[in-house]
Amino acid sequence: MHIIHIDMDAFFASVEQRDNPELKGRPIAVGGRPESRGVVATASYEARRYGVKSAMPMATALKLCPGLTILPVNHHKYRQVSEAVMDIFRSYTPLIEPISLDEAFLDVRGSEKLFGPAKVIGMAIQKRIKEELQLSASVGIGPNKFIAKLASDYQKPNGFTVIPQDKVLQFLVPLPVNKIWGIGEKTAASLNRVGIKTIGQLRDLPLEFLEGKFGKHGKILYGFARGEDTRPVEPEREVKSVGKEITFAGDIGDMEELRHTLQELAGKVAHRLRQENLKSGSVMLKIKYPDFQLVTRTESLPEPTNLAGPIYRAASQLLAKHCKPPVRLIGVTCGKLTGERQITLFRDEQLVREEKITSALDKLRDRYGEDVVKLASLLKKDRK
Amino acid sequence: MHFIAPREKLNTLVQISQKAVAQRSPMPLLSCLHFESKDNMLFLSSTDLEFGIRCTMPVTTIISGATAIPAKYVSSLFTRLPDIDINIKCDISSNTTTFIYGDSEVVLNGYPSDEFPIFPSFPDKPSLIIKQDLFRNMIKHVIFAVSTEEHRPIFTGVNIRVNQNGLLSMVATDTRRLALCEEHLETPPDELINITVPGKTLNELFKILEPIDDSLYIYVTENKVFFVIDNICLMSRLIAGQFPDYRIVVPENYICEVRTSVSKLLDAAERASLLVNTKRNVFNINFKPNGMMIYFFTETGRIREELESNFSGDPLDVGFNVRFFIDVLKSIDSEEVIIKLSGQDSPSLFKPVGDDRYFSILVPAVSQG
Repeated sequence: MHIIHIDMDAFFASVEQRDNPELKGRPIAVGGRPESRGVVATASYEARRYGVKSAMPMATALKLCPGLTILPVNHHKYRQVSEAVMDIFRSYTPLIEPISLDEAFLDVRGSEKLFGPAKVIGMAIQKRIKEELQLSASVGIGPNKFIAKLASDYQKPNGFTVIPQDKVLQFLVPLPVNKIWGIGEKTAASLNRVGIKTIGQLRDLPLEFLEGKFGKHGKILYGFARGEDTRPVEPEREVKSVGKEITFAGDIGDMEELRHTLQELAGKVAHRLRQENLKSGSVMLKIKYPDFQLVTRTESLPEPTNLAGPIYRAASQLLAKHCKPPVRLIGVTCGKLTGERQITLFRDEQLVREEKITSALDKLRDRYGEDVVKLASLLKKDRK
Repeated sequence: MHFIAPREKLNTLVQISQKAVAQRSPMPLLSCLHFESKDNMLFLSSTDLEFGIRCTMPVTTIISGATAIPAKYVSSLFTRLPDIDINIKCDISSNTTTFIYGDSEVVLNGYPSDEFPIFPSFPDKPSLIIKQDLFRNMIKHVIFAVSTEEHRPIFTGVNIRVNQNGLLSMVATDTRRLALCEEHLETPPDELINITVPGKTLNELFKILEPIDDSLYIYVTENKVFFVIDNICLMSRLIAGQFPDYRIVVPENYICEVRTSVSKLLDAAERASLLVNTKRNVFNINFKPNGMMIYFFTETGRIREELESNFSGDPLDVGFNVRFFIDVLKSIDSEEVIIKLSGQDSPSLFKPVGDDRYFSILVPAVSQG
C-alpha cells in the first residue's frame, strides 16, 4: 500500500476561481468560445451541478447552464501551478509519474521511513496543496496504480480514500466495469451484452474466456478484476538536459586539475547522451566557489554533438574565461537536446576521427566495463 | 584639417564608411571614423583591420589634415544636422573637431590620426571588371549558405572563381547546404581568380551595390581583395585555405524528381516552421506520384500539407531542416523549382525552372521519429 494517486479537483476552473475571487461559488467553464465550436476543458463544481462536463461542446454547456461564465484556457498559468504541485510531490519522493497537468502517481515505498506511512504522506500533501496553493486535491492510496486511481476517484472533491490490500476485492465488487482503466464504451458494451456489469461479475469469468474475447488485453482485465496491477510508477523519462558535477573534497585552485576534471565530466556526459541517442546544442559550465557563490555560463555549440571532445572544448573555454579558482564544485551540463540528425557535406576530418574512436571505445566499455579504457591525461589523477 | 561640404552628400558617405568600424575592439581608435581632407577632396575610412571601407568626395579644403572621431557619434550627428553646408574644423592640439552649421556648432572629442591604420592601396590593374547588378544578383543566390561557425573558417566565406573559359562562379556552403551561381563573362578574363571572400564582406558589398549596370572593379592581391565602385572602396582580407570542390557532392544519380510551385511550397514550409522548436527542426516530405506531402509535429501541434507537383521516379520520404529548406527556396527567383532527390541521407538538388545559372544542394536530416 504505497502508491498514491493525486488528482486536482476541477483544476483549471479552481485555479481561475482562486485567482479571481469574483468567480468563487459561481458556475464557470474553462475552454473555447461557443461561437468557434469550443469545448469545455474543465467545469467548476458549481457548473457540474447543471450537468456541464469536460469535453462537452461549450454551446451545450451554455444551454444547460445559462449563467455560465466562460474563460479562455490559460495553459501557461496552469503549467506554472502544476509545476508548484509537482514540487510538493518531489519533496516526498522522486518516483513521480505525471499523467497530465493535474494528476500524478507517486511511489512512496522508499519514503515511508522518512515521512511515515503512505497515509500520512498523502494527508501531508493534500494539506500542503490546500495551504500553499489554495487548491483542493483528491487523494487515493492503494497497493498499486489501478487501485490508487480508483480510490482518488471514489470521493471527489477533496476526497481522501485509502484502500488497503485486504479491502481491495470488497471495494471492487460493486464497481461498474467501465471504472477499469482501458475499458471504454465499446468494451463495456460488449461485456454488458454478456451480462457483465460490475467488476465482481467480471472476476467470475475464466481467463481463457477473456483472452479469447479480448486477446492480450484479456489477461490485463483478468488481473484488474482481481485488483492486480504490476505496472510500476515511471518517472517522466523526457530529458531536458544531461549533466554531471563533482564537489571536491578540498577546494581546488589548480586550473590544470580543473581541466582534467572537466574532461572526465565531459566524457561521462557525452556517454550518457549517446546512450539516450541524443545530441546537445549547448554546454553549461557550473562553478561553485568556496563561499558557495554559484556561477553558470553557457556556450552554444556550432553543431549538435554527443562527443566528449567538442563538449570538453566548449567547457574548458568557458573555464578559462570565467573561472577564478579556488573552486568547491565544478559541473558540466548539456542542454538543447535533440534526437534529430543533420547529414553534412565535407565532413570535418577531426570529428569523423573522434566519432570512430568514440564508437570503438563505447564498444569496449559496454563489454568490459566503464574503466577499461581512459585518457592518459586522466591517469595521473588516480595515482595521487 | 578644415573643409566645407554639403550635409546630405556627406551624410550618405559617413553612413557607408562607418560600416567597417570595429565592434568590440580593445583599440578605441578602431571604433573611429577617419577623416582626411586635402586638395579639395575628403577621404573617409574605417577598418577593423580585416575589413575596411573608404569613401571619397570633393569638398572645399581650407586646411589639409586628418583626424579620427568615434564613429557612433559622428554618424548619429550627421543624421540630425540641418541640410546646409557644414563647416568642419579640427584642432590638432586638442584633437577636437568642430562642426559648424549656420550659427550653431557641435564639438566632438577625437583621437590623433597618425596611429590610424593606413588604408592599403590596391594594384594598378583590376583583376575583373563586372556589372554591378550581375555581381549583386550572384551574391544574392549564394550568400544564405555561408557558415557563421568560426571553427572551420573556410566555410565562412564565398569561393569566387574565374576559370580559363571565362566562367565566373560563386560557391558557398555551411556543410548542410550549398549554393552555386555561375555567369559567363562577356570578355575573356585577363587573369584567373580563385579566392574565398568573407561572407560579412559580401553582405556589406551587397548593400552598397545597386541594381544598375555600372561597373564594379575587383582587385585581387595575395591576401586581400578590393571592390571599387565610383567613390567607394571596400577592402577585405581573404580567407586562407583550399575551398573544397563542390562537384564531388553533386549526386550523379537520382531516385526521383518533382517540379512544383516555389511560392506554394514556400508558404507551406513557412506554416510548418511555426511549429519548430529547439528539439524538433526537421520536417518530412513525402514525394509520390500524385503530389507531395509535408508532415511535421512538435509539442506545439502538427501539420500536413498536400501540394501538387509533377513527379517522376520512385516515391521517397525525406527529412529536411525546416529553416534551411526555407532559405533555399527563398533564393530561387523562378516561379517553379525542380527538386531532385538522391536518398534519405544523401544530397538533394534544387534547381530553378528556366534558369541554368544557379542551383542549391540541401542535405537531408533525420527526424527523431
